[in-house]
Amino acid sequence: MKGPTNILNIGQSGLFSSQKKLTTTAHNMANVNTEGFSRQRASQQATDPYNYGKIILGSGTKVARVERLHDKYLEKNLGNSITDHQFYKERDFQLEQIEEIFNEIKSPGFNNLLSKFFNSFRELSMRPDDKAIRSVVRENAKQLINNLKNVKIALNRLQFNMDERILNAVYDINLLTHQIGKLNVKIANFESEGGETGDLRDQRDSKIRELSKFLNIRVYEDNHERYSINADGIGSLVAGGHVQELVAQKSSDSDAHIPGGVEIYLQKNTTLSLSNKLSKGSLRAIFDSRNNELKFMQNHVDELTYGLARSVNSIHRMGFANKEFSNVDNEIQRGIASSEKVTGIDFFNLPPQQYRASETIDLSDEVKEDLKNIVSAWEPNSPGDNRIAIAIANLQNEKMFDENTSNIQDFYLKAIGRIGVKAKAARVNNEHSFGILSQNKALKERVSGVSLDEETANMIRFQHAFDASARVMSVADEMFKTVLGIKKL
Amino acid sequence: MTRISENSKNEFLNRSMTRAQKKLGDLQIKGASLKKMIRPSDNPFGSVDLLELRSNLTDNEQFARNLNYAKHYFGLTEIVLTDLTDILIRAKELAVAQASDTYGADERKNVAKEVDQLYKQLVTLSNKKIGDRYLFAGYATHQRPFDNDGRYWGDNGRTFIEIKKDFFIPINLTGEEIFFKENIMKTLEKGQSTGRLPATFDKEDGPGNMDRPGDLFELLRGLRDALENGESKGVRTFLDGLDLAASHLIALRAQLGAVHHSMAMIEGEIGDENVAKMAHKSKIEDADMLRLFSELEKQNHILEATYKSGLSLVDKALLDFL
Repeated sequence: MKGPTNILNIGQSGLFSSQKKLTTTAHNMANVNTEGFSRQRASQQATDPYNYGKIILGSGTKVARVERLHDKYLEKNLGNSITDHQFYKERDFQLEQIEEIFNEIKSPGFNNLLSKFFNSFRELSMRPDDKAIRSVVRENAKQLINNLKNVKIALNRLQFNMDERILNAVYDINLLTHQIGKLNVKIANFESEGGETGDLRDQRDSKIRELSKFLNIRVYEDNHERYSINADGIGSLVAGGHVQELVAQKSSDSDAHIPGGVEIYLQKNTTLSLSNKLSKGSLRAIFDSRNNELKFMQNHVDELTYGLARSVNSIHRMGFANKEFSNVDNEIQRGIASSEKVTGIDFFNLPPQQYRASETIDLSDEVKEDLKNIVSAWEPNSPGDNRIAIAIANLQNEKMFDENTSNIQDFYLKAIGRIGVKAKAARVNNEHSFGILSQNKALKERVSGVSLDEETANMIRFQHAFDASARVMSVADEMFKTVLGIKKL
Repeated sequence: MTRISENSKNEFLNRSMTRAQKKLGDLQIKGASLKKMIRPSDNPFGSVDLLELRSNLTDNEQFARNLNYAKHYFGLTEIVLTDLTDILIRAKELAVAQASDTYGADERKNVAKEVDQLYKQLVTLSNKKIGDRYLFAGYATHQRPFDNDGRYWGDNGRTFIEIKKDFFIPINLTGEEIFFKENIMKTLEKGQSTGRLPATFDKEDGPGNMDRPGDLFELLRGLRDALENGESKGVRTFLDGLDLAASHLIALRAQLGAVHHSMAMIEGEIGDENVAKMAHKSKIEDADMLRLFSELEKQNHILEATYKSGLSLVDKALLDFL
């Protein structure tokens, strides 16, 4: 085809192409604040030239495709650093809460109350028959017991919260995998019809980033453009449009990590717990914190309580109550309880076993009902005898924990130190991994981010091209009119 | 060339502001409490030391109270021993005067009355109380230890109290030790580190020596009776006894003094220990005020600068110039 029509067509192609490019620019600018948006570029290409024998003339331009500016490798890096960061962030969060339960930097806690407890027995040793001091002893013991109980309650509540978090996470994971599955189908359909799917792919990437927060995942796109996601330790979560759901429920396993705790399973196989197969991600962090540090502290508090109560009792029982007795010599055996409550009196009401001891520990009924049942004397009818009081006070130094290498204060403080170290490490790692995450985000932004200045400059460029093409068309129009005008003349 | 997108600009600004605000917040908490630490993880090892120091200082407070009580107890015992010594000295004076025939039987009968008074004082002193407990009854502190004949109804219980970690001192003398010269049990030992339950200190058999009255009582009663009889020869037999009794009391007082001395030493040691511990504690937990407040100032400036510089970053765009 020759002549003005040709020029008209070429001009038209320029117009349409500039329009398309302007549309893409407008789209980018509109989405400058859209989360996870990758900027798009309409790539222009010259159309195939016409061959007029010896002369080859160009035929205009077209927009070949609209591509999404996106780097797969950067995206993968970003996903990994999200998984890492979320792991440490969750660890930091949980350990901070555990640490706070035992924090007595600001206000008195167990260590302080323990000291008061022992020192009240020292006070009693000065005046072993004194009623007012006995009252203080009982009061201090009560406070100590309450502290232990409250600490245990707080730990148990934390466990409950962790389990809730796991349940919510699994719910979110399933939601995301379903959404990804649907997107997979949509994208595959669109692209098989030759459509452009930049925005849909952006959406999918965004969901995958969300998923990476919970689990360590790997993404594959095979030759048939089937998209699948595998999670480390679990297996396939998404394959094309198919989705495998996860389930979180209380474990009935008697040797589970934590009795009655929530574990994760595949929906199709609820006998095999996946919880300790996870690597990284926030879910793994919750399980670690619950099954390691939280459980450790729960057991620790129980061991502390049971050990203290048992050893105080064993000494307390050997002495005689602060009352006047007749019939002492043959009828009463030291350390054996009787209805007259002479000797063999417990100070604490010892729980049946160490497990959960801190939940049921209490003062003994005898001590609750009568202060005189607080024993300070080794011999009966010896109001000035303070030997039991002294012995109980010195349990403070007795190495009865850790295979007889630690006294009660060391035993307790060691655990606090341990939690402190771990919490600090988690916090440092949290900040560090956040730095890496930010870096990776920035790298991705460099490639995919919208720069308003850049788009504005492009807008001007494309508008000029549009004007130019319009001008070409108007010239062609004039030429056409001239040709037509030849006949009229 | 590196592209800068809108988001990376905003992200950068956000991060800088958040970081500056967080630091400032943290410093403000420390400023309000003047403490370097808010939670154990701020300084894991330091926080463990801190708690240990706190409980050590609490223990030392208790030990100080115990020490004061011991001092009080000793003080009273001292007074009694002094008064007893005075009684014996007076008795000796009277005995010496009446041992010769310078005075007659009537005079001796009068002196006997004075000695009887001394005897009654002896009985009173032997039943001295601290608060509402008897001082010299061993463990049987609610029961009057000496009857009017000088028989002992208390026991030989020795009360120890702790005045420093693992360091126990005995605070009492029993009636047996003071008033029976020959039946002195283990004499008052200097403060000893028992390391093990004092409950293993078993009381010896029986509650004291009830079948015979205390020697000091017998001395004075005997002297009184001899004076009433009016014979100087009888009076002379008591002179040696009175001497021995007096030196016995002096020996007791010397031993008390030794324990007193170790108590004073311990008190000094604990005082020094407290000072050192408080200094250590302060180093761990107290914020250096000067540094803290200059840090606060600096951080405030940084936050301001972040705001200002952030403003210029987001302020202008190419669009403004078209």
